[in-house]
Amino acid sequence: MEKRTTFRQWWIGVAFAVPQIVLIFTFFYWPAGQAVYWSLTLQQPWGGGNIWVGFDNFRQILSDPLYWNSVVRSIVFALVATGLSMGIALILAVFVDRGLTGSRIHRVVMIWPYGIAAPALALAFRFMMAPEAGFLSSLNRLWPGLWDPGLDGVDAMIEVIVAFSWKYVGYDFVFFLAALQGIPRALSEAAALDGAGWFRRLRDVQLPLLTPTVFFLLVIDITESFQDSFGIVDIMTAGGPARATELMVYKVYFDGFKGFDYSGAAAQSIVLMILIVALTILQFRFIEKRVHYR
Amino acid sequence: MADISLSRVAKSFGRTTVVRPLDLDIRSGEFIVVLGPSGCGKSTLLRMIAGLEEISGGSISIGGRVVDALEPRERGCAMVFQNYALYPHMTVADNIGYALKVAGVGRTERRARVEAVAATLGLEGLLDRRPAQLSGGQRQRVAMGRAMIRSPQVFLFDEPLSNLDAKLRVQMRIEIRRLHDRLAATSIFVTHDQVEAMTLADRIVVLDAGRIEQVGTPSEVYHRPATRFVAGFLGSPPMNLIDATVGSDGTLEFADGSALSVPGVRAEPGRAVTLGIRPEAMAVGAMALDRPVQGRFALEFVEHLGPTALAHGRFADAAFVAQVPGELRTGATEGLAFGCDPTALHLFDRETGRRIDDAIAAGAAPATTSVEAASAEHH
Repeated sequence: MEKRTTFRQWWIGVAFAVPQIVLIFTFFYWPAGQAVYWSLTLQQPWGGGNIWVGFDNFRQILSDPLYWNSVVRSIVFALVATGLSMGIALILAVFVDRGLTGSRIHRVVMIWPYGIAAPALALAFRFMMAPEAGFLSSLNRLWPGLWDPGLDGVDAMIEVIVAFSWKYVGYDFVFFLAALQGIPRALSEAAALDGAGWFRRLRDVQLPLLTPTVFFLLVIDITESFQDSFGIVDIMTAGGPARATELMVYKVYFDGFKGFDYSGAAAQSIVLMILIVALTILQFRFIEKRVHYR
Repeated sequence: MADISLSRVAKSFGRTTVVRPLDLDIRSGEFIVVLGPSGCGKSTLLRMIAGLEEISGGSISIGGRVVDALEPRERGCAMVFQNYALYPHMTVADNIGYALKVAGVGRTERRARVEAVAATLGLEGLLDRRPAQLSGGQRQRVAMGRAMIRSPQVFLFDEPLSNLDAKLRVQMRIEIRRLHDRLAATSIFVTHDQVEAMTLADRIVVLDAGRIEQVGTPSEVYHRPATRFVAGFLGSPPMNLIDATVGSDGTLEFADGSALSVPGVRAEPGRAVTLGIRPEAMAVGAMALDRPVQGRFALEFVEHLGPTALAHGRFADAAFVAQVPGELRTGATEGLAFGCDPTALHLFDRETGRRIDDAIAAGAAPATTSVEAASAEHH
C-alpha cells in the first residue's frame, strides 16, 4: 500500500503547497535574491539607480582587514558560545536525568531563557555585567579595573558570549534531557552490573548514544551564533570596544544601515550565508557519518 | 558458587506493595525458576537481588554476605535482560568484554577471554559486528556471553526467552540449562512460562501478588500443588477446579445437588472445599469403568490436538475439561463417563485456598514442600 496521500486532480496537491511556497519565496528567496543582486551592483544610499560592478564589492570586503577581524571574532564567538552552552546544558541534563529533587520544575524553567528576545536579555545582562554597579563590580573592588567590558575587548567578548550561552543552555538542555531519557534504562543497569560506576556509565554508554543529539545541536548552535547574536551585540557592546565584538552579522547591519554601504553589506551577508551553508554541509558530510551506529 | 538467602524481603513503591515479606533459601549451584503471572512481583524480586531496586524491608545475603547496602557491581551477580540491553554502539566483542574493561583487564587477556566465551556460545565469526546486525538468537547469546565473562557467582535471568520465536526458545532453553550445569553457578530465572519453569528448574518458586505460593521441585509443584492458585496456574489445559462440600458418607457434594463418591475421603463432613482434577489424570468412556472414582459430565465440544483431544463440557454446573484419546469424535447425549484414582484428586480449603493434606487416603505420594515447610527450614 502506498503510504503517501495521492490526489486524483494534480492541482489539489499544488494548492496545498502554494501557501508554504508563497511564504518561503516572499521571506527567503526573494530577499536573498535581492541581496545577491545588490552585492553585484553599487547602490546609491538614497535610492534611484545603481551601477553594475561585478565582484568588486566582494574584492573590497575580502581585502579589508577590518572584515577579516569580524570573521575571526565570529568564529571565536561561535566556538566558545556553542561549547559553553552545550557543555553546561549537558551537565544540567545529566543531573535532571538522574532524578534529583525538583527535576520536573527544572524541565519547565530551563526552556524559558530561549523564549526571551535577545535584546531584552542583553539589557538584563548589561545591567548585571556593568563594571560600576553590576554584580561583577565587586571584582573591581578587589582588583580595580579587572572587569571593564567598556574598555577591555576580551571582557566585552566574554560578556556577549555569556549572554548568548545563557539563552541557548535552556534550548540545548531540553534536547539533551529528551535524548538521555530516550536511552533505555536497561542499558545503564546492564553497565551497572558490569561493574561501571555512574560516571563510567555516563562516559561509556550514555554519551556515545547522545552523539546524534550532539551533532544536531552543534549545527543549530553554530548557525544561530552567526545570526542570533545580533541583538545581544547591538544592545550590550554595539560591536565595541574598538571592534572587539564586531561579529559578522553586526558588521552587516552597521556597514549597511549606519555606513549606508548597502552594496558592501549585501556582499557581506552573501559571504555569511555561504559560510553557514558550507558549515552545515561540512557537518552533515563528515560528522554525521560517525554518529550513526544503528 | 553462592547460597542466596532472602529473609523477610519486601518491596513497595509508595503505597503499592509489590513484594510482601518473603523468605527464600537458595542453595549454591541450584537452578531456581521464579514463576508467576505478570505483575506478581517476580521481576522486582530479581532486581532486588541484583541491586537494581532497593529493598523496602528484610535482608538479602549472597554467599553468606549481607548485600543490602552494596552496589550492583559489588554483589557478584550477572544478569540477562528481557530485551538483552546490548550496548548498540559497541561490537559484540566489546559488549562481552565490557565488564573486563571496567575491571581494568588488559587488552590481550580481554581478547583471549572474550574469544573463549564466544567459542562456547558459537559467536566466533560475529565478534566485530554490531548488535543491530545480529538475529534475535545471536543477540540472546551475546547477552549470555556478557553475563558469563566475569564467571559470576550468581546468574539472574529476567524473562530472557520471551522475545524469541517458539522454535528458538526451545533451543535456547536447552542451551541455558546446559550452560548452568557446566558453569555450576547459582541461577535464578524469572518467567511467566510454565513450560520453561518445568523444564529448567531444580526448584520452582510460584509467586502470586507478591507472595510465595509454593516452593518445590517441578514434580512437587505439578503433582501436589500447595494452593488453589498453583493448581490453576500450572498445567495446560489448567486443572479443573470445582467448589464442593464434603459429605458424610465418603462423597463430595456440589452446589447443583450432584455428588461424587470418593472412597477414602478424610476431610471432616460439611467442610467447604475446592476439588481439583487434572484433565490428563482422567480416563473417559469404557476405560473409566474400572476406576475407583467415577462421574459423568455433559460433553459440549472436542478440540483435536493430534495425538490427543480435549473434551470440553460441564460438570456440576462448572466448566470441565478432560484429555481424551485423539480418536474421540462426539459424545453420547447422556454425557461422557470419566474416572480416576483417588490420588488424582486434590482438595483445597475454600477459605484459605490451601491444600488439605492427607484429605484422601491413598498410597505413598511424593513429599511436598509447602510454604510453611520452607520457612520452617529457614528458621
